[in-house]
Amino acid sequence: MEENEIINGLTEAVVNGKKDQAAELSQKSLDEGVDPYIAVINGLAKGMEIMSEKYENKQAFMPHLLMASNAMYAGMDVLIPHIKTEGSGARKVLVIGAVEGDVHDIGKNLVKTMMSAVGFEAIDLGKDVPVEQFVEAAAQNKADVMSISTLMTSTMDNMQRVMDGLNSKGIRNNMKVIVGGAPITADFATEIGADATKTDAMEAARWAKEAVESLSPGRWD
Amino acid sequence: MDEYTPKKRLALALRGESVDRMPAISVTQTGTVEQMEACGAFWPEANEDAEKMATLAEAGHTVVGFEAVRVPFDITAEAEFFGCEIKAGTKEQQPSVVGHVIKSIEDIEKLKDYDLSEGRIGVVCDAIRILAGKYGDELPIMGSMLGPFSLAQHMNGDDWFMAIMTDEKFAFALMELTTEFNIAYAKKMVDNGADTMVIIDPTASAMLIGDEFYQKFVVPAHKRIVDTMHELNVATVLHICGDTTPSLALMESSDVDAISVDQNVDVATALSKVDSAVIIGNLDPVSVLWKKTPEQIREVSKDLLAAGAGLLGPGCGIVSKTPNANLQAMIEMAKGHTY
Ligand SMILES: [Zn+2]
Repeated sequence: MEENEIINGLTEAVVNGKKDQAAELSQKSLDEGVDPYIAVINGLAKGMEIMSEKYENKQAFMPHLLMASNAMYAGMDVLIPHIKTEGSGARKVLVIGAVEGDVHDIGKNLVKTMMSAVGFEAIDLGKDVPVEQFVEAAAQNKADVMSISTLMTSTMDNMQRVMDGLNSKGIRNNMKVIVGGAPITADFATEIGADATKTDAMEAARWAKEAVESLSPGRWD
Repeated sequence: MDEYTPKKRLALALRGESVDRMPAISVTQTGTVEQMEACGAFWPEANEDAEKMATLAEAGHTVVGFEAVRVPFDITAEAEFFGCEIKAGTKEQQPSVVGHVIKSIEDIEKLKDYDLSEGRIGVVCDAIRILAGKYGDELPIMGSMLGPFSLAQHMNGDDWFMAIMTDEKFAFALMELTTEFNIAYAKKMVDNGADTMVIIDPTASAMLIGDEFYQKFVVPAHKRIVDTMHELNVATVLHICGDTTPSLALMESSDVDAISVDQNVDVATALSKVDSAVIIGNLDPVSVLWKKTPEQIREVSKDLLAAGAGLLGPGCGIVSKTPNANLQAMIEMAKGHTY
């Protein structure tokens, strides 16, 4: 199988939500010597990006998106262990969590998926994450980006506390911080000193990819 | 003599019939900290004890001035009833569903026998009975429940969104369970004195699942609930979060009397999308009702009324920290509006 064929096949497997196919083709790409980083970015992630655009344009919906993301992760499970962890191919680190969660933390999962799709290694803290845990995880994993979300207005204060925690530990400027969730406005993001808030997952991922470029490489040393 | 009791006024207004003026109500949750402090019934106890639930619901009328009483204050009693793990709420925060109980069609079978007098389902019905005993002649007694699609999602987790696409047999079976439950629960609320039924089905959004799945799974379920309520002469309101503009016609096809729209919906546009459903809404519960001043709230209300809102109200559940004065500004604007 040609490299192109494999890459396109990976994209298609994600678009069609074919989990097994994505995993098989990923293995095949390794067997054929395709650079796993290329297979993820040009193959799997591209499929996810196509689906995300379809979702924004109301041509695809949550069922299709979740099927696609399952397929993407199935492929990534095979490929990621083979990606070199240093140099230009090194993955940027995302620490993501919800200060409060309910059924709608599907939004958070989508952000995680799209961030993974653009090349982040996601450290998912889950939902109902205590303030201190965000701060600790950021320091421990040398985060490049932190994403904090909430769905409940009553827990918006906790976002401020995470920001305060990062500040008092002196690591706030080591990473970019994006906040999100139904009650979050741009004004609120500015007020608490976050770098951005975006209304959809793909936009958030695009923003994050670009934003990390301005971080200095040695800042965690 | 006032020809219209608040009860009669709302009953007529929800059906689009003529009344002397707009009723001042909220179809979404009404509990706030200021009311808790005024009446002595606090969350989380007021979510679990019928007397306290009724007391806090009553405060919406006696303390704030809503022309109705409404229970409960959260949307987790239904999932809890079926055994989903719940994260407890606090004084300021509603409980939330964190665990799921259904993975397969066999799991559904196991949950088919239930007793509606149990759990918080029973508590809500008891609270309704208390409220109806005290205010039933005068005020609308509003019961609210999580809708069948969102309940299915609570029970099955995020896999639910894929199940509706990949496993129709399972999806229809689970919808059957939740819809039957909703019908029985709504009837029980009505037996206890509820005269208005609010269906809150946040994840049943066509924006999330698309028109095709909405039509297939959601509309028939809502229609069965609505038909049952109509047989009992109970008006129905449907609330779905998010920008529901493109799917309002589909939502209305379940024959609900009124649709409560989120702050992301433009009221005038919404009106152009429905045939006869009353559009309720849609002050932003956070950036307007909670954060703005009464004066600003009056301004926003004025615009919504001018746009044709059939009932002025919050776009989603009222935030627990919302000041009374802010709610009263909205109430005053509703009361001052003639159709
Ligand atoms: Zn809502």
